[in-house]
Amino acid sequence: MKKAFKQNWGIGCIGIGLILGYWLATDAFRVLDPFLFVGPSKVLPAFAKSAGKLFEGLLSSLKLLVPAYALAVVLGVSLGVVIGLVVPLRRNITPYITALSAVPVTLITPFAIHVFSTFYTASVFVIFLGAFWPILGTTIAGVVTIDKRYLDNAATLEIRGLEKMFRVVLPAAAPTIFAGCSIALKFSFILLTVAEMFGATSGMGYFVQYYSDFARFDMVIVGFIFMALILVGIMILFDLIKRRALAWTLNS
Amino acid sequence: MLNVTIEKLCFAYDTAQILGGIDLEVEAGAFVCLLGQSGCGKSTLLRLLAGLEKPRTGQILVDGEPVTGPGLERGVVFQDYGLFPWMSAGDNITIALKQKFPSLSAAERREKALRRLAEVELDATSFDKFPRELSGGMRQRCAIARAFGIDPPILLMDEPFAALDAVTRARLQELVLDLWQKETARRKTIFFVTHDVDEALYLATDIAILGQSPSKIIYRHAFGRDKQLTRSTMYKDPQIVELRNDLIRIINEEIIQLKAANGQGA
Repeated sequence: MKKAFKQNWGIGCIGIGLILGYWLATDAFRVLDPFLFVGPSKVLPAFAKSAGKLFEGLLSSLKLLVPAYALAVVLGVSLGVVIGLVVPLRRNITPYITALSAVPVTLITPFAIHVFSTFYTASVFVIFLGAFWPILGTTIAGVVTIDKRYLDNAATLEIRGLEKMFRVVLPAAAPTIFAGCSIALKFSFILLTVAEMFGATSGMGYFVQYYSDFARFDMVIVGFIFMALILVGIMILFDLIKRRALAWTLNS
Repeated sequence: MLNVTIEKLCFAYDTAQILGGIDLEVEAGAFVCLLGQSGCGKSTLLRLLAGLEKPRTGQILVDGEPVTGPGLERGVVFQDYGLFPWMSAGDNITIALKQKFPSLSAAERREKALRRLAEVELDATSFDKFPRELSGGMRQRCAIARAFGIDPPILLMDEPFAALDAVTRARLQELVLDLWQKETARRKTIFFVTHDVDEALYLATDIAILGQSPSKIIYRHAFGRDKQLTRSTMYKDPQIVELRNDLIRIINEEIIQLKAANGQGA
């Protein structure tokens, strides 16, 4: 407990500073427009009142996020490894990956709704696609930049097939792949608002979008803070996993 | 303990010719040191022996069979990057043992790996350490333990001690020599790349000097099978001193010639 405090007191101080600063700019001196920038005096009660709805939204959002992100990791990493290792395939497919990954995911929404049978699957697809491209891209980059000496080393030991994949290629590319997965995770939160506009009747993104449409900015701030807290929590878990997997690197 | 025959071996990267027709007969159980200046192609020759590169023309025969790719019967110790940094030292050995002896259980592999570590004077605590937590010397000990662990009849070593301090280097030279000599009748055939004349004199039963651009073997010396040198007395032998001077002279002449040739070209 004492150790946790010692390591994290800086985070706490900055948090308190930010809240205090916001309070000064709103409730205390009304520097900012009170219609858009609702002060803590109104946000805090609103938070308490909508807690139930927020947690309900969290569960609903996770139902979209978890399958979409998991699928993006599995497909992104496995396809990325294959594309990274097979040079002719990589040469021929790279321009198409670049082209497709540049299409804004929001523009894909009508197509997704048309192609998929339910709004739910269309929403999952939108988030999946947003997370998939960065994971695919970084996995390819990670595999391509593996030091050839490690592959030579594996070759002299006749390490091949799945053994090579799981014990040489993936660990060697892991630092880069993790960076991509982390970007994808944050991006999938951003896409929640897009996906939940049509694919859900509750959810964290839905909550923010809904109240924004009614210009209830106290509730928008509540939704935003709640989403941010959840994302920070998930990223802490993510870092724990990353730290374990990358324990062999020097500066983790 | 396999014969190796290198026949008219040529190799080039794109247009840059590296090896220009290398012929070398090596008897089973020989300890061959390949000497030469940096950039002379000796590491390339070793990569070809390992099967990591394909020759343009010519071939390498191991007991009459041409080398077509990397294989467990030719173990390799690299100068660095020999161990996978994401695996503990122990796992680096057990993954190799798993390749060579697939029938062993995990526990048996672990036990064998620990024995091999002890053989190179590393204790059990290094088993679970990552390579970055070990010193350079300990990493090379581990790489040697792995190479001898899979017991290849041919062992290829690419300047394995070049990055180590003098004391550690001397200690590891003795260690490799011990491990090799211990196997008496079934000694491995070792190819050892170095630019250090003294290292070659101490270790080799056969010395070959590679000249460069493109590289060829320009000098060979074979000690008898019964070569017995100790570090403290070897330089009291006038023949060894003369050989040492010859080796250094030949390598230096090669450098001077190359400089002159380049000077003319420019």
